[in-house]
Amino acid sequence: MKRDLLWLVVERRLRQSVPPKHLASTLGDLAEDYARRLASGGRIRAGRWLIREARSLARAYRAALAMGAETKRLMLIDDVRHAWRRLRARPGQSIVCAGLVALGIGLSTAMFSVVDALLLQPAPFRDPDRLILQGLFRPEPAVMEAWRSTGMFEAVEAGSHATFRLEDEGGRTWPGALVTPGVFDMLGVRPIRGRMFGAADARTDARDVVVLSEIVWRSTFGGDADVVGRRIRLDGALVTVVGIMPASFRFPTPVTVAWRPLDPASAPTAGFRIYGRLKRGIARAEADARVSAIAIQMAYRPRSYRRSPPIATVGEVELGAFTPPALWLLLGGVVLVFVVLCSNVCSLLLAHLSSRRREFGMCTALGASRARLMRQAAAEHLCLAALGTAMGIGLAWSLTAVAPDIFLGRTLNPVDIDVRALAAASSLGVAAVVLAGLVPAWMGTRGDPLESLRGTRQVGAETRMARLATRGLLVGEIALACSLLVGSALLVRSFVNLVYADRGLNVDGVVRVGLGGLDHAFPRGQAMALATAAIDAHVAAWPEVSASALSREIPPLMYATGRARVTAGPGATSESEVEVESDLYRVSAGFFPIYGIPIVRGRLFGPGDSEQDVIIGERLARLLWPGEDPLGRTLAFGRAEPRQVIGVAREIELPTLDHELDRPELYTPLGSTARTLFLNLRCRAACPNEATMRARLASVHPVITARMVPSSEDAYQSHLQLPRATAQVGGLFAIVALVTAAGGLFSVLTYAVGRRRRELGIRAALGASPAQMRHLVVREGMTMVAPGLAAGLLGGWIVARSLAALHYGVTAADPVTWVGVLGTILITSLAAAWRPARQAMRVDPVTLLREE
Amino acid sequence: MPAIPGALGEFETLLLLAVLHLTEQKQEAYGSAIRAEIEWRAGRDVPRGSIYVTLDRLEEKGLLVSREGGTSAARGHRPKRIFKVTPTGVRAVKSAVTAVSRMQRGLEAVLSKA
Repeated sequence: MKRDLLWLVVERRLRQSVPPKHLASTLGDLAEDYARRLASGGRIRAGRWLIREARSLARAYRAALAMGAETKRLMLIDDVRHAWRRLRARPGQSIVCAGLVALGIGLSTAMFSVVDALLLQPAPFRDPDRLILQGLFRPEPAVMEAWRSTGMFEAVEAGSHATFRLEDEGGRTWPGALVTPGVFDMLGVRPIRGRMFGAADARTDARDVVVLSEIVWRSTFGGDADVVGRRIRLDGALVTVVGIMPASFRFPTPVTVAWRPLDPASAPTAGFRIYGRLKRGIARAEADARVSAIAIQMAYRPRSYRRSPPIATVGEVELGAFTPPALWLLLGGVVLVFVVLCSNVCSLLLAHLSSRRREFGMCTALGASRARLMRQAAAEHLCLAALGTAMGIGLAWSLTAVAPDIFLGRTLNPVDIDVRALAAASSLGVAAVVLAGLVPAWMGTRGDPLESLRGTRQVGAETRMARLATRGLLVGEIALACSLLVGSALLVRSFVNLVYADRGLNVDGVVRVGLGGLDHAFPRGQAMALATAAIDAHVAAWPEVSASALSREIPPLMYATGRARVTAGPGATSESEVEVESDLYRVSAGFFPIYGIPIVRGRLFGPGDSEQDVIIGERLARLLWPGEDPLGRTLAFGRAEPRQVIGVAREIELPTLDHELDRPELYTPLGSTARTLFLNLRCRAACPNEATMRARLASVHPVITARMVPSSEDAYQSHLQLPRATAQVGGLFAIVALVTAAGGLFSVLTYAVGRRRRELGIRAALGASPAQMRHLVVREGMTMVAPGLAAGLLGGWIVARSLAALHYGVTAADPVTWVGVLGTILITSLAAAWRPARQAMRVDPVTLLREE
Repeated sequence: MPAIPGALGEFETLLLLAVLHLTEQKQEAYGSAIRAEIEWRAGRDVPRGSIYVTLDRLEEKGLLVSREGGTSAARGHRPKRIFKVTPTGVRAVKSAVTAVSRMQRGLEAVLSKA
């Protein structure tokens, strides 16, 4: 047969409608018949016939296809409707299951999102791996130059935290930063309005500019488009707003919302940092070595100083020692809670396995196909899971919305829902529900349907598989809940210990006032020393004041102020060099009595004492001269003049889990170069207010400013924020797990009592007392609780041991915790078993027999 | 023993019977042959499309199986798709035919007049 045009048309037409696997045979059949027609009737008639046949084939296949799709659609709708009816038939179970799934998805997604933002995601800047920083305590333009000359950096910039007071707009104080103009380019960020700083902005005569965050722009200026170019009053000076940065941009600290240009050559404050962007291909370790070498060479960091790596990636430094282990712990906790919740859903669904199995058996006996029943069961549980997932997404969303309140200030990243975590948690939840739902369908449709009908009729019979599955899951739940309870109880105990820890000083009732403008008022050192004495005397004469003291630092210190190598003299050798990072307090003599810090040896500062006389804390004394009398000894900071110890003060403790923050103290008299001073006051009744103080101090010198600073208590509380959040979240997880496990126990026992009513009735008829019946049910409950508790206590021990870093004043073997957990689990289990046991006691054999 | 999925339609029954006939005669039961068989025995000219679509459906239901058969020049060297009735198919036909014959019992007089 020739492949003429007609055949090409036919082939093309059939290719569009006939399934490809049957196309060849269909065309073959057509060709065979066509050849026969051709031989008998001529070309034209055969051709017409061929076209007719091809059309018939195409039509029939197309119609079949359309009908198949329609049937499938109808079946799907039917399945979903059926599923919805089934769920509505048991609203209690459906809501509980969906709620448990939602809780699991919501909690775990929120927790993963927080961990992701705080621990996993790199800082939200361009190529964050190449951004590094180094903290300094003095402005060092020479160090920046040295960094640049290594040729390893694309950019070297500097920045420092600062606070700005917007005086025009209600006087709000915003956390801000002083940055070198190139910082924005180095980070790879763009303003949403206006411009960033240019090189000219850092010049001393042109520094009256500010870049604001969208947050300030919206809250203070109502998102006014004309704010760029406007002059605003900031810290008493008029500055021009040149640009607005997006709200998501926060740098160098997670709370920074305003930036002013910084000239490193005249940089003012402590906490100065150098930021560098490494060139492509330069290894971290290589840069680390060079930067350390520069640090030592420039002698701003002693050779023997080894604490913390000299450089860190931007964003790594904000967390401190507490956050990472706490977050990993909570993440582990949420995984356990998720497992408990999913197991509970499974055990709830499987508890009804016997009755469901019977139902499916009946459907099979009535002629329903297995595939159809499985599909229906899948649809029903998919609906349930979808409901749970939807609720879970809502919960995750609301939890991540409140997370920034707790974790803002700890990460430069925004805390958003982590889609991967949501997908993972949802699919696991859905899988758990659907699998638990398919088991009864699979068992019910297997083998002889009559068998499954018959199997469940016997007295108290519950299929072995259902029994094993539900009880196994429950034992696991109890074990996990117990482990979680141990972990969280220890966290709560640690938190309580932190709150009530002895701080070694009394901050109650001490009012602190920051004095500014002193360096303008008294530029010369000698005059300054006299001025501080004058202020001290002036304030002491105020009628409200019962005690006062001046100091350059106030407790608790947030960062080490005395960081140096200390040589303990006299006759010091290199062996007596000790590396210390201490809290240096420069104080007047009144500081010790006002904070209730007793001098345990030696004496207080007297009028004749110079900066070469020091009082040290007990811990530093033990560190430098273990077992010896420190009085009269000398110590030297680096290459500075040696200082003589004249007294030992009781140690101040900073209750925190970050042990590096609790440093030994060192006190020297107030120096003569103070830029800022703090006034510490104890008043008889109320202290004078800010305005009164300012007015009174004006009589000493008109330039002096006075500003109340937050109380010490606030600072101490800030160290408690994360332990509190950790204890709360951990406690929440433990409670969720415990309540879920108790609920599981309750439902399994209730179901078991329901199934065993006949058996219980017979026992009652044979003379079993109600107490014996109750005992029967409680014993059944305890057969699940006991192995769960055993495994849980073992798990709890592992959890407790791995949490050692987060413990404060408790050990993993804390007896109160263990007894408490054991008691809680037992009491909760008994409470859960109580109602089913009462039901068993009330079984009346007569009623039961009548029912039969 | 797998269940018979639903009762057979009349046309389905005809098709299965035609395939059984061809198989009994040791002939290849492929599309054209089945159509010719129905035309010859039942005197019906059935549209080709209906035959092929129905054959596919019966195969999906497990009442028929097909394999590739030989080719010839007349077919343009394309293979035949040769059908065979499965045991389930045989039972289905039997059940359908029995139902019809039972239903007509007692109606012989009426039916013979028509």
